[in-house]
Amino acid sequence: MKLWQKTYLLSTLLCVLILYGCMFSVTAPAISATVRSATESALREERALAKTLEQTMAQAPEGRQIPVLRTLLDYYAGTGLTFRVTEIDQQIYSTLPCSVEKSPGTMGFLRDRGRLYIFASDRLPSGYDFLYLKDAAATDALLKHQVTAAALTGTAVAILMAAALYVLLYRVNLPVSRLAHEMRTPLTTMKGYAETLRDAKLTEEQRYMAASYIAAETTRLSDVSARLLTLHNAKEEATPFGPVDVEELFEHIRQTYPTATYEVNWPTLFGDRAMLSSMLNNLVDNAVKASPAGSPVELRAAPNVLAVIDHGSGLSDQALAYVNHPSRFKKLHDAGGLGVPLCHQIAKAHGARLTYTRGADGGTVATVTFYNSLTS
Amino acid sequence: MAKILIVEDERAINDLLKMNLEMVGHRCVSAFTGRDAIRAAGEQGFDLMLLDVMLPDVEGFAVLEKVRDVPTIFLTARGATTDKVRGFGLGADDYIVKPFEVAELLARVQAVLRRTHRAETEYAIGDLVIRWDAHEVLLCGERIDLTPQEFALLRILIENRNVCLSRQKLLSEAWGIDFLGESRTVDVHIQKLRRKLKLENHIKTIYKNGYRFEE
Repeated sequence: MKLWQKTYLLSTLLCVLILYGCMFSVTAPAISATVRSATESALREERALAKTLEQTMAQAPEGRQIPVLRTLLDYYAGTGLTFRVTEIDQQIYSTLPCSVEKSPGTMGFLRDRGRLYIFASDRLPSGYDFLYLKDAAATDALLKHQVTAAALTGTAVAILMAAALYVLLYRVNLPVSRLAHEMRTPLTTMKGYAETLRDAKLTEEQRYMAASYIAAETTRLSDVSARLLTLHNAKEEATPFGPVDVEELFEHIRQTYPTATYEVNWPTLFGDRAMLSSMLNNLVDNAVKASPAGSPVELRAAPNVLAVIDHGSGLSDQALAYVNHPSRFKKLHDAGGLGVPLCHQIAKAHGARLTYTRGADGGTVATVTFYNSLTS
Repeated sequence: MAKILIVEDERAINDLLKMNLEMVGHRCVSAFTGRDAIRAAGEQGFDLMLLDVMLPDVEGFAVLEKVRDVPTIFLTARGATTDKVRGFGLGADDYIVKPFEVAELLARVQAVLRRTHRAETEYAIGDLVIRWDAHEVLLCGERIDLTPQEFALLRILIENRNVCLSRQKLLSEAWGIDFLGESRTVDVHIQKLRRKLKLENHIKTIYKNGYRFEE
């Protein structure tokens, strides 16, 4: 497993723990409030019923207490209340839907055949035990709803966060791994040819070839280093933007690539000159390499659009897919190493988008469209 | 010497491998894509294949699956342990990590060739004939007695012909890495070899570096 993947797993785990901690601290008071309100209401009802019972017993004529009590209890039973009255383990009256064995002076929850009840039990001054049972199915449903909602929200946020973190870390680490690959080849080559020059008995031709490869790879390596620096700047947006003279930019490129011609209908754009120059250099370099020797490469600037057009043999569909979306490809494609992703990065830093299309004559057209540029 | 198929898409590295392997007497065929490699292996026989894992069209491992009867050393990036495990799982004989040392490359190639019995069994130069398996050295048809150490040293020099080997390298290869001898030991043995086998014109001293066997 790569280091960044380990970092990802650890930070995700930590974030999920913190997230569930937060969810718990938010949900727990709500659940406790629901439970408290249900038990308090049951207790109030029990107290009121017990008080009425006690008063009725006190007012009943001597010897008639039990029949009077039964009349009252019949009335309660008729309203759908569930309760039980006992006198020293002898049941006098009960409308309980289930058997309940609770000592007087206790209250709490009990579950019978999947249904939740709240019970409250008391010993009346007259010596009778009164147990009140209240159906708590509504409270049960509410509690279940609260817990499910918390768990679902927590899981959804955790998944979103994990995905966002993965994309972030992947994007940060991808250019570094690409660069490592880009550097390995020149390093292998330079080391190998240097050792061969030192140790082997070479012909003049082989010696020339070895030295040429070392020189070429040194250029490639310094190119990688320059690109890395530009990529860093593009990512950090380290350099402030300013007005860039497009004609001067094109002229500078034409001096490096004599076959380039240009046409400017957009005199000034707002951006970073070094980055834009690096991007155009890359685009023109690829265009020149794709063109037959001496064939012109056109640079065009129209309002909000820069384009590099070549008249070469064009790119295959596969190569075109790669240059348009290099980040979707795991492996560096033949069509370019770090250059194409770099151009996309620079375009993005300028609020622009780079697209490659096939030209009318089969060549390739690279277009940079600026969407929110402060242009003049 | 052996016939080797080099499969590497980077021309610079492909040429580097070819240059060094041909230097020590092997014959090489270069392939730059996986498909080329599979085609080449189907058309002609090879004693060894050097195979890059990252190829533009077909992955190196897929090539290894198609070309089963050729001993293979694959080239991989530093730290890619999963590559190594996968390569060995598919029957590769060894691996070389990029960036590699040329001397190490040659040693590993030689080791695999010897292990798979595809290394040369006899070497001849001028009046000298060496039969490696029999440990026999003949000069003008006459048997010359060499100590095991002299024989090992001669073998390392010839297997790496045209390449300079440092005294340290010769010590570690011919005497074993644990040998605590001085580099002077190498000089003494080289003098003996030159004298016994009349190789004064072939075993060259390379200033500040070591010795090289030249044909």
